[in-house]
Amino acid sequence: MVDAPDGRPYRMRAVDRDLVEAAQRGDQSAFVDLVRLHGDRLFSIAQRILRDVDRAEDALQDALVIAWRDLPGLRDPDRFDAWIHRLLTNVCIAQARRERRRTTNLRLLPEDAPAAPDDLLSVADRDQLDRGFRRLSPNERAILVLHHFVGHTPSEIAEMLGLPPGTVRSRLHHAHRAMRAALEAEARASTVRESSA
Amino acid sequence: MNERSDMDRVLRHWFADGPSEMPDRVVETVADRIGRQRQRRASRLPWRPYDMNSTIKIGTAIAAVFVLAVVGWNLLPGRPASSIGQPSSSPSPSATASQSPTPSPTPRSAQLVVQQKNIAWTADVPVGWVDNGWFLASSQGTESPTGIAVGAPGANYVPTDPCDGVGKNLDGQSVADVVAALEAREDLVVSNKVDTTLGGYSGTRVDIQAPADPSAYCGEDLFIIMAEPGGAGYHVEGPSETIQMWIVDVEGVPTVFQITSFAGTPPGDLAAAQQIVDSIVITPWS
Repeated sequence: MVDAPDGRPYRMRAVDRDLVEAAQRGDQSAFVDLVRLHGDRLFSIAQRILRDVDRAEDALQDALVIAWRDLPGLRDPDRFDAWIHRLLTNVCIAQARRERRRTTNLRLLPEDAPAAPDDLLSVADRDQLDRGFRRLSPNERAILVLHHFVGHTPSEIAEMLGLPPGTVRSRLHHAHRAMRAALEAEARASTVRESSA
Repeated sequence: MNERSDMDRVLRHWFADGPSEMPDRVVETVADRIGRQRQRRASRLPWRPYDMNSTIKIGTAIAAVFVLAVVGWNLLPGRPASSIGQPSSSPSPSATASQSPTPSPTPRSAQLVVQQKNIAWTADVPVGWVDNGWFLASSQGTESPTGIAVGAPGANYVPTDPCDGVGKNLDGQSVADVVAALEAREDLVVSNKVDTTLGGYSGTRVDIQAPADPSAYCGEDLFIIMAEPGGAGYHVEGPSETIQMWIVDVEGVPTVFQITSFAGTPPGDLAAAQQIVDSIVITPWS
Protein backbone atom coordinates (compact mmCIF):
# COMPACT_ATOMS: atom_id res chain seq x y z
CA MET A 1 0.00 0.00 0.00
CA VAL A 2 1.22 3.48 -0.82
CA ASP A 3 0.63 6.49 1.32
CA ALA A 4 -0.36 9.82 -0.11
CA PRO A 5 2.18 12.64 0.21
CA ASP A 6 0.33 14.13 3.17
CA GLY A 7 0.63 10.85 5.04
CA ARG A 8 -3.01 9.80 4.86
CA PRO A 9 -3.52 6.17 4.02
CA TYR A 10 -4.15 6.11 0.33
CA ARG A 11 -6.61 3.29 0.36
CA MET A 12 -10.20 4.52 0.39
CA ARG A 13 -11.63 5.51 3.71
CA ALA A 14 -14.78 3.71 4.72
CA VAL A 15 -17.50 5.16 2.57
CA ASP A 16 -20.45 6.65 4.31
CA ARG A 17 -23.10 4.24 3.18
CA ASP A 18 -25.81 6.73 4.06
CA LEU A 19 -24.37 9.29 1.67
CA VAL A 20 -24.24 6.79 -1.18
CA GLU A 21 -27.79 5.62 -0.53
CA ALA A 22 -29.07 9.18 -0.31
CA ALA A 23 -27.33 10.07 -3.57
CA GLN A 24 -28.83 6.99 -5.17
CA ARG A 25 -32.24 8.37 -4.24
CA GLY A 26 -31.41 11.62 -6.02
CA ASP A 27 -30.02 13.70 -3.15
CA GLN A 28 -27.59 16.02 -4.92
CA SER A 29 -26.11 17.48 -1.75
CA ALA A 30 -25.22 13.97 -0.56
CA PHE A 31 -23.45 13.36 -3.85
CA VAL A 32 -21.55 16.63 -3.54
CA ASP A 33 -20.46 15.49 -0.06
CA LEU A 34 -19.18 12.29 -1.63
CA VAL A 35 -17.28 14.35 -4.18
CA ARG A 36 -15.67 16.39 -1.40
CA LEU A 37 -14.83 13.21 0.49
CA HIS A 38 -13.17 11.38 -2.38
CA GLY A 39 -12.26 14.14 -4.82
CA ASP A 40 -8.64 14.63 -3.80
CA ARG A 41 -7.79 10.97 -4.16
CA LEU A 42 -9.63 10.62 -7.46
CA PHE A 43 -8.02 13.75 -8.84
CA SER A 44 -4.57 12.46 -7.86
CA ILE A 45 -5.17 9.22 -9.74
CA ALA A 46 -6.46 11.02 -12.83
CA GLN A 47 -3.49 13.38 -12.86
CA ARG A 48 -1.02 10.50 -12.61
CA ILE A 49 -2.60 8.62 -15.51
CA LEU A 50 -3.04 11.64 -17.75
CA ARG A 51 0.04 13.61 -16.62
CA ASP A 52 -1.85 16.83 -17.06
CA VAL A 53 -3.75 18.83 -14.46
CA ASP A 54 -6.34 20.27 -16.83
CA ARG A 55 -7.13 16.97 -18.50
CA ALA A 56 -7.27 15.28 -15.10
CA GLU A 57 -9.79 17.87 -13.98
CA ASP A 58 -11.89 17.29 -17.09
CA ALA A 59 -11.73 13.52 -16.67
CA LEU A 60 -12.68 13.74 -13.02
CA GLN A 61 -15.66 15.97 -13.77
CA ASP A 62 -16.85 13.63 -16.51
CA ALA A 63 -16.41 10.58 -14.31
CA LEU A 64 -18.33 12.19 -11.45
CA VAL A 65 -21.22 13.23 -13.67
CA ILE A 66 -21.38 9.70 -15.09
CA ALA A 67 -21.26 8.39 -11.52
CA TRP A 68 -24.19 10.58 -10.57
CA ARG A 69 -26.14 9.44 -13.60
CA ASP A 70 -25.49 5.73 -13.05
CA LEU A 71 -25.40 5.64 -9.25
CA PRO A 72 -28.95 4.25 -8.91
CA GLY A 73 -27.70 1.16 -10.73
CA LEU A 74 -25.01 0.45 -8.12
CA ARG A 75 -26.43 -2.57 -6.34
CA ASP A 76 -24.14 -2.59 -3.32
CA PRO A 77 -23.38 0.86 -1.84
CA ASP A 78 -20.40 -0.64 -0.03
CA ARG A 79 -18.82 -1.17 -3.45
CA PHE A 80 -18.88 2.54 -4.18
CA ASP A 81 -15.11 2.84 -3.74
CA ALA A 82 -14.26 0.15 -6.27
CA TRP A 83 -17.00 1.33 -8.60
CA ILE A 84 -15.89 4.96 -8.73
CA HIS A 85 -12.26 3.87 -9.10
CA ARG A 86 -13.13 1.76 -12.08
CA LEU A 87 -15.28 4.44 -13.61
CA LEU A 88 -12.61 7.11 -13.28
CA THR A 89 -9.89 4.81 -14.60
CA ASN A 90 -11.94 3.96 -17.66
CA VAL A 91 -12.68 7.62 -18.35
CA CYS A 92 -8.97 8.41 -18.05
CA ILE A 93 -8.04 5.53 -20.38
CA ALA A 94 -10.55 6.72 -22.95
CA GLN A 95 -9.28 10.29 -22.71
CA ALA A 96 -5.66 9.18 -22.92
CA ARG A 97 -6.52 7.17 -26.01
CA ARG A 98 -8.01 10.18 -27.72
CA GLU A 99 -5.14 12.39 -26.66
CA ARG A 100 -2.57 9.85 -27.77
CA ARG A 101 -3.99 9.78 -31.27
CA ARG A 102 -3.80 13.54 -31.46
CA THR A 103 -0.22 13.74 -30.19
CA THR A 104 1.32 10.70 -31.81
CA ASN A 105 3.45 12.78 -34.12
CA LEU A 106 4.15 15.63 -31.76
CA ARG A 107 7.32 16.01 -29.80
CA LEU A 108 6.50 15.53 -26.17
CA LEU A 109 7.47 18.29 -23.82
CA PRO A 110 7.32 18.35 -20.05
CA GLU A 111 4.12 20.16 -19.14
CA ASP A 112 4.60 20.70 -15.46
CA ALA A 113 7.33 22.70 -13.87
CA PRO A 114 10.31 20.43 -13.21
CA ALA A 115 10.42 19.19 -9.68
CA ALA A 116 13.27 20.08 -7.40
CA PRO A 117 16.17 17.64 -7.68
CA ASP A 118 16.36 14.99 -4.99
CA ASP A 119 18.70 12.16 -4.17
CA LEU A 120 16.73 9.55 -6.10
CA LEU A 121 15.63 11.26 -9.28
CA SER A 122 17.23 14.13 -11.14
CA VAL A 123 15.21 16.59 -13.19
CA ALA A 124 16.46 14.82 -16.30
CA ASP A 125 15.37 11.47 -14.87
CA ARG A 126 11.89 12.83 -14.24
CA ASP A 127 11.72 14.21 -17.73
CA GLN A 128 12.71 10.85 -19.19
CA LEU A 129 10.23 9.02 -16.98
CA ASP A 130 7.54 11.40 -18.16
CA ARG A 131 8.43 10.79 -21.79
CA GLY A 132 8.58 7.04 -21.28
CA PHE A 133 5.27 7.06 -19.47
CA ARG A 134 3.53 8.99 -22.22
CA ARG A 135 4.72 6.45 -24.76
CA LEU A 136 2.94 3.65 -22.89
CA SER A 137 -0.53 2.58 -23.92
CA PRO A 138 -3.34 4.12 -21.84
CA ASN A 139 -4.03 0.73 -20.29
CA GLU A 140 -0.39 0.32 -19.27
CA ARG A 141 -0.36 3.80 -17.78
CA ALA A 142 -3.44 3.05 -15.73
CA ILE A 143 -2.00 -0.27 -14.59
CA LEU A 144 1.24 1.38 -13.44
CA VAL A 145 -0.65 4.06 -11.50
CA LEU A 146 -3.08 1.63 -9.92
CA HIS A 147 -0.22 -0.60 -8.86
CA HIS A 148 2.46 1.86 -7.76
CA PHE A 149 0.39 4.83 -6.66
CA VAL A 150 -2.87 3.37 -5.41
CA GLY A 151 -1.35 0.10 -4.25
CA HIS A 152 -3.66 -2.35 -5.98
CA THR A 153 -2.41 -5.87 -6.67
CA PRO A 154 -2.44 -7.17 -10.26
CA SER A 155 -5.46 -9.32 -9.39
CA GLU A 156 -7.36 -6.30 -8.08
CA ILE A 157 -6.43 -4.33 -11.20
CA ALA A 158 -7.54 -7.22 -13.38
CA GLU A 159 -10.93 -7.23 -11.71
CA MET A 160 -11.20 -3.47 -12.01
CA LEU A 161 -10.31 -3.30 -15.69
CA GLY A 162 -11.99 -6.53 -16.72
CA LEU A 163 -8.72 -8.05 -17.91
CA PRO A 164 -7.23 -11.48 -17.19
CA PRO A 165 -4.69 -11.27 -14.32
CA GLY A 166 -2.01 -12.67 -16.62
CA THR A 167 -2.59 -9.82 -19.05
CA VAL A 168 -2.23 -7.28 -16.27
CA ARG A 169 1.03 -8.88 -15.13
CA SER A 170 2.46 -8.95 -18.65
CA ARG A 171 1.47 -5.32 -19.25
CA LEU A 172 2.98 -4.36 -15.94
CA HIS A 173 6.16 -6.15 -16.95
CA HIS A 174 6.23 -4.41 -20.31
CA ALA A 175 5.59 -1.03 -18.70
CA HIS A 176 8.43 -1.59 -16.24
CA ARG A 177 10.80 -2.45 -19.05
CA ALA A 178 9.76 0.62 -21.01
CA MET A 179 10.22 2.90 -18.02
CA ARG A 180 13.59 1.35 -17.23
CA ALA A 181 14.66 1.83 -20.84
CA ALA A 182 13.67 5.50 -20.59
CA LEU A 183 15.85 5.96 -17.52
CA GLU A 184 18.76 4.08 -19.09
CA ALA A 185 18.54 6.31 -22.15
CA GLU A 186 18.92 9.31 -19.88
CA ALA A 187 21.86 7.67 -18.08
CA ARG A 188 23.63 7.10 -21.41
CA ALA A 189 22.98 10.70 -22.44
CA SER A 190 24.40 11.94 -19.13
CA THR A 191 27.54 9.89 -19.64
CA VAL A 192 28.02 11.39 -23.09
CA ARG A 193 27.48 14.90 -21.74
CA GLU A 194 29.97 14.37 -18.94
CA SER A 195 32.64 12.86 -21.16
CA SER A 196 32.36 15.64 -23.71
CA ALA A 197 32.47 18.39 -21.07
CA MET B 1 18.39 -4.35 -4.41
CA ASN B 2 17.34 -6.05 -7.66
CA GLU B 3 16.25 -4.24 -10.80
CA ARG B 4 12.57 -4.89 -10.20
CA SER B 5 12.42 -3.53 -6.67
CA ASP B 6 14.61 -0.62 -7.73
CA MET B 7 12.14 0.24 -10.47
CA ASP B 8 9.26 -0.12 -8.01
CA ARG B 9 10.94 2.39 -5.72
CA VAL B 10 11.63 4.82 -8.55
CA LEU B 11 8.05 4.70 -9.77
CA ARG B 12 6.56 5.07 -6.29
CA HIS B 13 8.79 8.06 -5.72
CA TRP B 14 7.96 9.58 -9.08
CA PHE B 15 4.19 9.09 -8.74
CA ALA B 16 4.18 10.48 -5.20
CA ASP B 17 5.41 13.78 -6.55
CA GLY B 18 2.45 15.62 -7.98
CA PRO B 19 -0.73 17.47 -7.12
CA SER B 20 -2.90 15.75 -4.55
CA GLU B 21 -5.73 18.21 -4.06
CA MET B 22 -8.74 18.52 -6.30
CA PRO B 23 -9.30 22.14 -7.39
CA ASP B 24 -12.31 23.65 -5.62
CA ARG B 25 -13.96 24.52 -8.91
CA VAL B 26 -14.46 20.81 -9.63
CA VAL B 27 -17.03 20.61 -6.83
CA GLU B 28 -18.85 23.67 -8.14
CA THR B 29 -18.81 22.44 -11.72
CA VAL B 30 -19.98 18.95 -10.81
CA ALA B 31 -22.74 20.36 -8.58
CA ASP B 32 -23.90 22.46 -11.50
CA ARG B 33 -23.72 19.62 -14.02
CA ILE B 34 -25.57 17.05 -11.91
CA GLY B 35 -28.32 19.63 -11.43
CA ARG B 36 -28.91 19.30 -15.15
CA GLN B 37 -28.22 15.56 -15.41
CA ARG B 38 -31.03 13.14 -14.66
CA GLN B 39 -30.13 9.88 -13.03
CA ARG B 40 -30.47 6.77 -15.12
CA ARG B 41 -33.23 4.42 -14.07
CA ALA B 42 -33.71 2.28 -17.15
CA SER B 43 -31.23 0.47 -19.33
CA ARG B 44 -30.16 1.95 -22.62
CA LEU B 45 -31.67 1.01 -25.92
CA PRO B 46 -29.08 -1.26 -27.44
CA TRP B 47 -29.93 -0.89 -31.12
CA ARG B 48 -30.29 2.51 -32.58
CA PRO B 49 -32.66 2.76 -35.50
CA TYR B 50 -32.06 4.76 -38.60
CA ASP B 51 -33.39 8.28 -38.28
CA MET B 52 -36.45 7.80 -40.41
CA ASN B 53 -37.81 10.29 -42.85
CA SER B 54 -41.57 10.67 -43.10
CA THR B 55 -41.92 8.35 -46.10
CA ILE B 56 -40.16 5.55 -44.28
CA LYS B 57 -42.19 6.22 -41.16
CA ILE B 58 -45.42 5.83 -43.10
CA GLY B 59 -44.14 2.71 -44.83
CA THR B 60 -43.06 1.23 -41.55
CA ALA B 61 -46.40 2.02 -39.95
CA ILE B 62 -48.22 0.27 -42.79
CA ALA B 63 -45.88 -2.69 -42.49
CA ALA B 64 -46.45 -2.83 -38.74
CA VAL B 65 -50.23 -2.81 -39.24
CA PHE B 66 -49.82 -5.61 -41.78
CA VAL B 67 -47.75 -7.70 -39.40
CA LEU B 68 -50.21 -7.11 -36.55
CA ALA B 69 -53.07 -8.10 -38.82
CA VAL B 70 -51.36 -11.35 -39.77
CA VAL B 71 -50.55 -12.18 -36.16
CA GLY B 72 -54.03 -11.21 -35.02
CA TRP B 73 -55.67 -13.31 -37.71
CA ASN B 74 -53.65 -16.30 -36.64
CA LEU B 75 -54.71 -15.80 -33.05
CA LEU B 76 -58.43 -15.38 -33.74
CA PRO B 77 -60.71 -17.80 -31.83
CA GLY B 78 -61.96 -20.50 -34.12
CA ARG B 79 -58.83 -20.57 -36.18
CA PRO B 80 -57.33 -24.05 -36.20
CA ALA B 81 -54.65 -24.28 -33.53
CA SER B 82 -52.28 -25.74 -36.05
CA SER B 83 -52.32 -22.48 -37.98
CA ILE B 84 -50.39 -20.74 -35.25
CA GLY B 85 -46.76 -21.06 -35.94
CA GLN B 86 -47.28 -22.19 -39.52
CA PRO B 87 -46.16 -20.09 -42.43
CA SER B 88 -48.51 -17.18 -42.86
CA SER B 89 -50.51 -16.56 -45.99
CA SER B 90 -48.55 -13.40 -46.65
CA PRO B 91 -47.82 -12.99 -50.33
CA SER B 92 -44.38 -11.61 -49.56
CA PRO B 93 -41.28 -13.20 -51.09
CA SER B 94 -40.17 -14.62 -47.75
CA ALA B 95 -43.48 -16.42 -47.33
CA THR B 96 -42.89 -18.04 -50.67
CA ALA B 97 -39.44 -19.06 -49.56
CA SER B 98 -40.82 -20.65 -46.41
CA GLN B 99 -43.09 -22.94 -48.44
CA SER B 100 -40.11 -25.05 -49.40
CA PRO B 101 -40.51 -28.84 -49.12
CA THR B 102 -38.24 -28.94 -46.06
CA PRO B 103 -40.23 -27.77 -43.05
CA SER B 104 -38.54 -25.33 -40.72
CA PRO B 105 -37.76 -26.95 -37.35
CA THR B 106 -38.47 -23.65 -35.59
CA PRO B 107 -42.11 -22.61 -35.88
CA ARG B 108 -42.64 -19.16 -37.28
CA SER B 109 -45.18 -16.86 -35.72
CA ALA B 110 -44.94 -13.77 -37.85
CA GLN B 111 -42.77 -11.73 -40.12
CA LEU B 112 -40.47 -8.87 -39.33
CA VAL B 113 -40.63 -6.10 -41.88
CA VAL B 114 -37.92 -3.47 -41.69
CA GLN B 115 -37.35 -0.45 -43.87
CA GLN B 116 -33.93 1.14 -43.78
CA LYS B 117 -32.06 3.70 -45.74
CA ASN B 118 -31.26 1.65 -48.84
CA ILE B 119 -33.41 -1.45 -48.43
CA ALA B 120 -36.52 -3.00 -47.02
CA TRP B 121 -36.05 -6.46 -45.63
CA THR B 122 -38.21 -9.15 -44.14
CA ALA B 123 -37.48 -12.13 -41.96
CA ASP B 124 -39.44 -14.91 -40.35
CA VAL B 125 -39.97 -14.51 -36.60
CA PRO B 126 -39.71 -17.77 -34.66
CA VAL B 127 -42.16 -18.44 -31.87
CA GLY B 128 -40.91 -16.92 -28.65
CA TRP B 129 -38.80 -14.28 -30.36
CA VAL B 130 -39.58 -10.63 -29.87
CA ASP B 131 -39.97 -8.23 -32.74
CA ASN B 132 -38.34 -4.99 -31.65
CA GLY B 133 -39.14 -3.22 -34.86
CA TRP B 134 -35.58 -3.17 -36.13
CA PHE B 135 -34.23 -6.42 -34.83
CA LEU B 136 -35.35 -9.69 -33.29
CA ALA B 137 -34.40 -10.88 -29.84
CA SER B 138 -35.02 -14.19 -28.16
CA SER B 139 -36.76 -14.51 -24.83
CA GLN B 140 -33.28 -14.21 -23.30
CA GLY B 141 -33.13 -10.58 -24.38
CA THR B 142 -30.16 -9.05 -26.12
CA GLU B 143 -27.69 -8.55 -23.30
CA SER B 144 -24.90 -10.57 -21.72
CA PRO B 145 -24.57 -13.34 -20.65
CA THR B 146 -27.30 -15.23 -22.57
CA GLY B 147 -28.82 -12.71 -24.95
CA ILE B 148 -29.02 -12.86 -28.71
CA ALA B 149 -30.34 -10.63 -31.47
CA VAL B 150 -30.63 -10.67 -35.24
CA GLY B 151 -30.88 -7.53 -37.28
CA ALA B 152 -29.30 -4.94 -39.49
CA PRO B 153 -27.58 -1.93 -37.96
CA GLY B 154 -28.57 0.28 -40.90
CA ALA B 155 -25.03 1.62 -41.10
CA ASN B 156 -21.84 0.51 -42.76
CA TYR B 157 -19.27 2.98 -41.47
CA VAL B 158 -16.81 1.41 -39.06
CA PRO B 159 -15.21 4.17 -36.97
CA THR B 160 -11.55 3.74 -36.16
CA ASP B 161 -12.36 4.97 -32.67
CA PRO B 162 -14.77 2.62 -30.87
CA CYS B 163 -16.00 5.57 -28.84
CA ASP B 164 -16.97 7.59 -31.92
CA GLY B 165 -20.73 7.41 -31.95
CA VAL B 166 -21.16 10.13 -34.56
CA GLY B 167 -19.81 8.22 -37.52
CA LYS B 168 -19.87 9.16 -41.17
CA ASN B 169 -21.74 8.46 -44.34
CA LEU B 170 -19.53 6.47 -46.69
CA ASP B 171 -21.76 5.57 -49.57
CA GLY B 172 -18.89 5.08 -51.97
CA GLN B 173 -17.19 2.23 -50.14
CA SER B 174 -17.25 -1.44 -51.03
CA VAL B 175 -17.86 -4.61 -49.02
CA ALA B 176 -14.08 -5.12 -49.01
CA ASP B 177 -13.66 -1.63 -47.53
CA VAL B 178 -16.01 -2.45 -44.66
CA VAL B 179 -14.25 -5.74 -43.97
CA ALA B 180 -10.86 -4.00 -44.09
CA ALA B 181 -12.10 -1.35 -41.64
CA LEU B 182 -13.25 -4.07 -39.26
CA GLU B 183 -9.95 -5.91 -39.56
CA ALA B 184 -8.05 -2.68 -38.92
CA ARG B 185 -9.74 -2.22 -35.55
CA GLU B 186 -7.25 -3.38 -32.92
CA ASP B 187 -10.05 -3.72 -30.37
CA LEU B 188 -11.88 -6.33 -32.45
CA VAL B 189 -10.84 -9.85 -33.41
CA VAL B 190 -12.10 -10.61 -36.91
CA SER B 191 -11.95 -14.21 -38.12
CA ASN B 192 -13.49 -16.82 -40.42
CA LYS B 193 -13.78 -14.45 -43.37
CA VAL B 194 -15.63 -16.25 -46.19
CA ASP B 195 -17.55 -15.37 -49.31
CA THR B 196 -21.27 -15.64 -48.80
CA THR B 197 -24.70 -14.74 -50.09
CA LEU B 198 -27.64 -13.44 -48.12
CA GLY B 199 -31.06 -12.83 -49.57
CA GLY B 200 -29.56 -13.42 -53.00
CA TYR B 201 -26.88 -10.78 -52.62
CA SER B 202 -23.21 -11.68 -52.48
CA GLY B 203 -20.68 -10.43 -50.00
CA THR B 204 -18.48 -11.49 -47.11
CA ARG B 205 -19.23 -13.11 -43.80
CA VAL B 206 -16.96 -12.61 -40.78
CA ASP B 207 -16.99 -13.48 -37.10
CA ILE B 208 -16.16 -10.60 -34.78
CA GLN B 209 -15.14 -10.92 -31.16
CA ALA B 210 -15.65 -7.73 -29.18
CA PRO B 211 -13.53 -7.00 -26.08
CA ALA B 212 -14.03 -8.67 -22.73
CA ASP B 213 -14.43 -5.23 -21.21
CA PRO B 214 -15.72 -2.64 -23.68
CA SER B 215 -15.81 -0.04 -20.90
CA ALA B 216 -12.01 -0.19 -20.72
CA TYR B 217 -12.05 1.56 -24.08
CA CYS B 218 -14.86 4.06 -23.77
CA GLY B 219 -15.63 4.29 -20.09
CA GLU B 220 -19.36 4.66 -19.74
CA ASP B 221 -19.70 5.71 -23.36
CA LEU B 222 -20.94 3.21 -25.88
CA PHE B 223 -18.50 0.88 -27.60
CA ILE B 224 -19.36 1.38 -31.23
CA ILE B 225 -19.04 -1.16 -34.02
CA MET B 226 -20.80 0.86 -36.71
CA ALA B 227 -22.29 4.32 -36.78
CA GLU B 228 -23.68 6.90 -39.13
CA PRO B 229 -24.65 10.48 -38.38
CA GLY B 230 -28.40 9.82 -38.72
CA GLY B 231 -28.34 7.73 -35.58
CA ALA B 232 -28.08 4.33 -37.21
CA GLY B 233 -25.50 1.93 -35.92
CA TYR B 234 -24.64 -0.71 -33.43
CA HIS B 235 -22.84 -0.78 -30.11
CA VAL B 236 -21.98 -3.87 -28.14
CA GLU B 237 -24.17 -4.81 -25.22
CA GLY B 238 -21.84 -6.58 -22.90
CA PRO B 239 -18.50 -8.21 -22.36
CA SER B 240 -17.10 -10.63 -24.93
CA GLU B 241 -19.90 -10.20 -27.40
CA THR B 242 -19.71 -12.31 -30.55
CA ILE B 243 -20.99 -10.84 -33.78
CA GLN B 244 -21.60 -12.97 -36.84
CA MET B 245 -21.72 -10.41 -39.60
CA TRP B 246 -22.83 -10.60 -43.21
CA ILE B 247 -21.81 -7.65 -45.37
CA VAL B 248 -23.49 -7.95 -48.74
CA ASP B 249 -23.43 -5.70 -51.77
CA VAL B 250 -26.96 -4.45 -52.43
CA GLU B 251 -26.72 -2.48 -55.65
CA GLY B 252 -23.38 -1.01 -54.75
CA VAL B 253 -24.11 -0.33 -51.08
CA PRO B 254 -22.44 -2.58 -48.47
CA THR B 255 -25.36 -3.69 -46.33
CA VAL B 256 -24.83 -5.29 -42.97
CA PHE B 257 -26.78 -8.00 -41.17
CA GLN B 258 -25.68 -9.63 -37.97
CA ILE B 259 -26.31 -12.08 -35.17
CA THR B 260 -25.05 -10.87 -31.81
CA SER B 261 -24.63 -13.35 -28.99
CA PHE B 262 -22.60 -14.29 -25.93
CA ALA B 263 -20.88 -17.38 -24.61
CA GLY B 264 -23.95 -18.23 -22.55
CA THR B 265 -26.46 -17.93 -25.39
CA PRO B 266 -28.40 -21.21 -25.65
CA PRO B 267 -27.44 -23.27 -28.75
CA GLY B 268 -31.10 -23.52 -29.70
CA ASP B 269 -31.34 -19.74 -29.92
CA LEU B 270 -28.23 -19.63 -32.11
CA ALA B 271 -29.79 -22.19 -34.44
CA ALA B 272 -33.02 -20.19 -34.54
CA ALA B 273 -31.05 -17.03 -35.29
CA GLN B 274 -29.39 -18.72 -38.23
CA GLN B 275 -32.83 -19.69 -39.55
CA ILE B 276 -33.91 -16.08 -39.27
CA VAL B 277 -30.90 -15.01 -41.32
CA ASP B 278 -31.67 -17.73 -43.88
CA SER B 279 -35.20 -16.35 -44.21
CA ILE B 280 -34.14 -12.76 -44.91
CA VAL B 281 -35.45 -11.28 -48.12
CA ILE B 282 -33.94 -7.98 -49.25
CA THR B 283 -35.66 -5.45 -51.46
CA PRO B 284 -33.55 -2.46 -52.52
CA TRP B 285 -35.26 0.93 -52.71
CA SER B 286 -33.94 1.77 -56.14
